[in-house]
Amino acid sequence: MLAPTSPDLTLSRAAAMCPASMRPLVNLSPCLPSREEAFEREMLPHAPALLRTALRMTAGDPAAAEDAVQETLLRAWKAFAQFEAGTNARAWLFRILLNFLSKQRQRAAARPGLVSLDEHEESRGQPVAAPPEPARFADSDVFAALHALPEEHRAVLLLAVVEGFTCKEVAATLELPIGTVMSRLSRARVGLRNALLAVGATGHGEGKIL
Amino acid sequence: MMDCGEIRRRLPELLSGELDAGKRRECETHLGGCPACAREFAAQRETDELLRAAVARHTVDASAVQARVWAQIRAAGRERTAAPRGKTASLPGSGWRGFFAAWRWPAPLTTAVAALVLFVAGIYPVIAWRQRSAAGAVQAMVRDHREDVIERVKKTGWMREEDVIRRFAGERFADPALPAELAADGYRLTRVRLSRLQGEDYAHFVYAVDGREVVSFFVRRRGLEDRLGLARPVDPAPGDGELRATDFQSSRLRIIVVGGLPPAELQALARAAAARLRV
Repeated sequence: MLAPTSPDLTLSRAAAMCPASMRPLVNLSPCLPSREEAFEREMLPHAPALLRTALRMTAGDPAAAEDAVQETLLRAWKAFAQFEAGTNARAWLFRILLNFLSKQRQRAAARPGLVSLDEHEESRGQPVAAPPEPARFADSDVFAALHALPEEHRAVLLLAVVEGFTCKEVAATLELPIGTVMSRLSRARVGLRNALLAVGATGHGEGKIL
Repeated sequence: MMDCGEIRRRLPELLSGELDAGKRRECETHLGGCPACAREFAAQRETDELLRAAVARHTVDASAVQARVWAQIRAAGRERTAAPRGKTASLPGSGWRGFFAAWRWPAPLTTAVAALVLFVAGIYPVIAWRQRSAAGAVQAMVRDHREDVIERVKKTGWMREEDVIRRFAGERFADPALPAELAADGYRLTRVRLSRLQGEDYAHFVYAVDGREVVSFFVRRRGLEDRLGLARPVDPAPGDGELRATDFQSSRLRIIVVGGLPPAELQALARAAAARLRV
């Protein structure tokens, strides 16, 4: 595939083209960034993060995940005029993506004859202490356990654990009270853990507790 | 004093590193004396690691989506600019369909046109986008360094007081001592600002030697892409221009060093900081 561009090469090229004495005061680029360029710079770099989240929210369906990310970015483009520069682009994009996926699932669930398989195995009540045994699981086991979580648990878990959002950021992104986010996160972690331990206990797949 | 219920409620904040130092200490004290809560905390942290590692091992390639979106945006832009030109007279059987139907295309020409269309619509946007985004971040940092340190363009948001900076580093990187740790012998941190570059927030640390500001460290928490080794350490560019950049990463952070120092000196600074971060 394409060799990644070394940032330094570009830097040296830019520096060579533009000696210190005659460098423009503010901007290296020859013209002001257009709306397209601003979008490209601010929004498109988030596509990989959106895609890996979408992939887990669609239980590993790459085509559906790509469609969702494309739809998200095009919606973001249409609404880009309303986006305030300097605010959290990542949170904004994730909100669009998760809203889109959630609406899509509601529509699918409303269609007769289609049964959603992701509604089960929610663990309710207080978090239960699971022993932190040294365990090794196949990624497929981890994903199966993740995909079995309720959608709203999966969303907070992916944002907080994989994408590194703080609880406050998750709350702002999903427009939920922070207390709700924290209790969902706890339940999601316990749910994932229990699902994994169940897989390990039955010796299913490669997931064994060593 | 926190009880078990309070600790359990706060575990998500403890795991995300967003508790302030006082609350974190309280939690740690409790965990130190309560095996049940400590087990729960360890179990949850381990679950997080399993999930993170599994996702990190399954890389995604978003370049096709990015290129499709980019092509659609560009196409919409072209339509917008083309539209006001008004209607063109149309002959019977004209338009794309007529054109294709009326003309018998020789096979090699069809293939060449198809290849060209594929390149323009599919591959070219990917190449262009990749090159631009890889180049953009470091260029933006060099620009920041030039504006902030050399030309001293006035910007808001600089933090200068030591305790403010410590708090900022604590909240952002869970390490209040980080700015001081990055400084080599003889270098002193003068100010810190959050800078948004290529859609990512970088903390811009400025260091001075002998009272003169000379070098910038741009720091952010590492993303999954970095963990997968997509960002390799780079050598400072030889010769051209007076500003150079080099980068390195610790297990948690990605750091780019920008300054007008000789390449060897810049790299020595980066190496020294990298060595201290590993300790």
